[in-house]
Amino acid sequence: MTPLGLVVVSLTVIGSAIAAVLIAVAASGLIEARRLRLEPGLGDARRAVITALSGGESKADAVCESLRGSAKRHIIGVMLDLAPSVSGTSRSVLVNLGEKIGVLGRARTGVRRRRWFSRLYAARVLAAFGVESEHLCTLLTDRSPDVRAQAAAWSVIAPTPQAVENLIALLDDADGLCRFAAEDALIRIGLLSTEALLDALEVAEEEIAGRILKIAAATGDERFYPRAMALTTHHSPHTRAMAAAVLARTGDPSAGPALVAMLDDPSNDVVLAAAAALARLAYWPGAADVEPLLSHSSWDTRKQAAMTLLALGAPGALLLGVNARAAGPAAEMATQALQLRSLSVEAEVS
Amino acid sequence: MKHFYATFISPINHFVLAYFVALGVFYLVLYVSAALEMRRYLREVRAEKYREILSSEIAPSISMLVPAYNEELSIKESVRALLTLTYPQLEIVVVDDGSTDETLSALTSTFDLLPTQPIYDRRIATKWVQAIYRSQTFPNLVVVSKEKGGKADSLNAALNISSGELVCAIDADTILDPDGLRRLVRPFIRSHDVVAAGATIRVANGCTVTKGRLASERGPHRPLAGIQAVEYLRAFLFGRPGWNRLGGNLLISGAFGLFRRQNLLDTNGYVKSVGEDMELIVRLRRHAYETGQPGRIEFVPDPVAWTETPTSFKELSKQRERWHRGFSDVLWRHRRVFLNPRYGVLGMAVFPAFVLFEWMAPIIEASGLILVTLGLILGQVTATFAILFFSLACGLGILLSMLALLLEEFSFRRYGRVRDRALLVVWAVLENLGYRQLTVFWRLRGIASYIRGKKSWGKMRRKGFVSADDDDVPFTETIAAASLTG
Repeated sequence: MTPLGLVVVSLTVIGSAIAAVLIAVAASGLIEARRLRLEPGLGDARRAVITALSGGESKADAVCESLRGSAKRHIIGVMLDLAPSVSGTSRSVLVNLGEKIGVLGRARTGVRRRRWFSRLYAARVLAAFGVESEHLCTLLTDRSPDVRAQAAAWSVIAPTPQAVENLIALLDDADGLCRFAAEDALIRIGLLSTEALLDALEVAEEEIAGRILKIAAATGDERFYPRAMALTTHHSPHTRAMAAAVLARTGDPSAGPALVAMLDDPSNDVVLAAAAALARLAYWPGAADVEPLLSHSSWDTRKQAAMTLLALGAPGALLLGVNARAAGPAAEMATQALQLRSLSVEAEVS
Repeated sequence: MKHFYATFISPINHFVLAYFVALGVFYLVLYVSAALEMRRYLREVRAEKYREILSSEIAPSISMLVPAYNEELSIKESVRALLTLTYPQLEIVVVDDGSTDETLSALTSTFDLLPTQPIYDRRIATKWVQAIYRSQTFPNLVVVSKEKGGKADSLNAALNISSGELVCAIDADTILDPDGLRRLVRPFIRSHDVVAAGATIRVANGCTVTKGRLASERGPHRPLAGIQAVEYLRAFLFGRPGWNRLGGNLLISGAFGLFRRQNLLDTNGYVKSVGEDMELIVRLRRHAYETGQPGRIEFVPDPVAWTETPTSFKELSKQRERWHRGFSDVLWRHRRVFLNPRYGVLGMAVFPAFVLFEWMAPIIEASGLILVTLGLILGQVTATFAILFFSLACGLGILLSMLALLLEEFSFRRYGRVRDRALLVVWAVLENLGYRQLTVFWRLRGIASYIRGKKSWGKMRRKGFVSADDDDVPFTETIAAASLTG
């Protein structure tokens, strides 16, 4: 083909493509403009739903009627915005409204659909409305990670033993979003999940054990204390560090000696976690054992040691004072910690 | 002369034509990838409200790094807007880089700042930090006052002092979507391999801004801003999502990007360069290949940062020249990556494509226009061919812009009014009749000034900001859309 021929062909192709795209953009814009003219807008939908919520059950039917002309996406959008913020009677009015309009019915069907995004959307709608469903446990083992993660977030409203078990299984999921959603859900479920988590901790491998201990540290349930104490000598440094965090969170000062012993751990992460735990427990008898860490080779450990000593009150401050007058990295860190303390005091006074 | 044309110029013409065909095919692949990526993303986030992240105890903490220089007019509103962002564990670190105006005083009086002395590791060397303040009213606001060292130095100081697991570098005048961080954090939660994530930048000219927040999202009504809005749409709805699917991005705008702090520290943070944001991404990816550590770069299309674009040709020409100079600098610094199998997709596909279709584009386009004109003068090219060739170049440009508008129409429609979106179509056509040829010239000037060794940012004057001499401008300009097509 000659260059001219090539240019002509290319130009024809590009010209046709431009025309097609223009038609598509124009059609979409015109449809949108027409829809906006014909249907009551988003503001009307918002007003109607809020009227229903403020008027209780009595207004639900009237509001349903007034919403008939509105676009479904507007109504659903408004409901999804409002659903998590309302509770009690208002929530039941909203759920009732959702049922009448057919949003929830479609969502219940949607969770069984073949396409992952349909299941995801349906699960999101049901979760937002706080509606329970027998499909929840199935969705926790769905093949799509997005659906599993959404189901995990949803399961907080109905933490059945089966759901909790599935959530614990999700802690080992290959997808990070699922693991995050499961951890978050188990923290929100709180005390109800403790027994199942303790059982899982008995048999859990290193990584999962770490995640369970992270949940335990967040909930701070004292039932984790004995198991955490036993795990302070676990072979995995990560597990030992997480065990220290759990001990700190349970708030039992009897963990002090074990945490002090962990300051000699070969893993720096464990030392850091133990020092932080001692600070949280304000276990002042450990001050003398924390002090040598001010000269540690790791900057992070030196900083944590200084912060721990600050948190231990007068004994810690005294040791910081002694070190500030010496030389070397310990003095530098101690001085900075004491300056921080004096500035905090000044700020409080002013 | 005719013999010379037939021997030397004609083959170049054929090369230019072949380049255009290759460019067309490349953009087609990029567009299809972008469309697929957008479809996947829209399905994934439909009805998603990110509430779990908002109230989660285990959501990663974020530090916003806000370098500021002589921004006394806008800094209060900018910081107020940042403080209203909805994210659970958010720290804001504003760095006053030795401003000569009242930036620090404005911050001190507005946010009730008191000196503090946090213990932090000076992992990256920076200019002397004179004082650190913490707000009494907003405990998550930290202000750092330091000697002047430039934007990269300020970002590094903020990086040292910040405590978040993730850090978000933004320009002081950038307006973020209130829930932008919640959306942008998702890739980091999803995978530990992700070290950086970028978001969309849109043109705020035409929008109403009240107290640092966007009150209405309107498309620009003036041609220059309107054409830039189309360029930004093309870059962020077409190029970035496409690259996301094809092998990872090479560019995250300095106006709004989220990074894993540890990875930034491991690669020594920001380096002083005109295109420091692009340089950082290439370095992060390179480091990942060299050390075997994670290094995925993600692009999330719907968290939006709004920014003001130049409103005069003079400022725009400086901006584009600077971008292409920065772009050249980054490509040269990392030239070892080019076609190097050690760097996998980055070395064998992404980097060469950026060199071939982005960096070389103005050279080829200018060559094509000059050679066709020369051929016309020498009688070797017919007027019909010349007109058709010019129409082809314009047509390809219009098509790319139209495709970006199509993506916008079927995705976010952030410029809400139908009239605004219709106007974008007009700007998309106008862009190719004169404006694009001007940008070719500006970009060529950028390459030339890089070869001459010009390193400064140049003078700049923008609405709401006070300009000054070389290296003395507010930190509100980034290489946001250096690649406005890809």
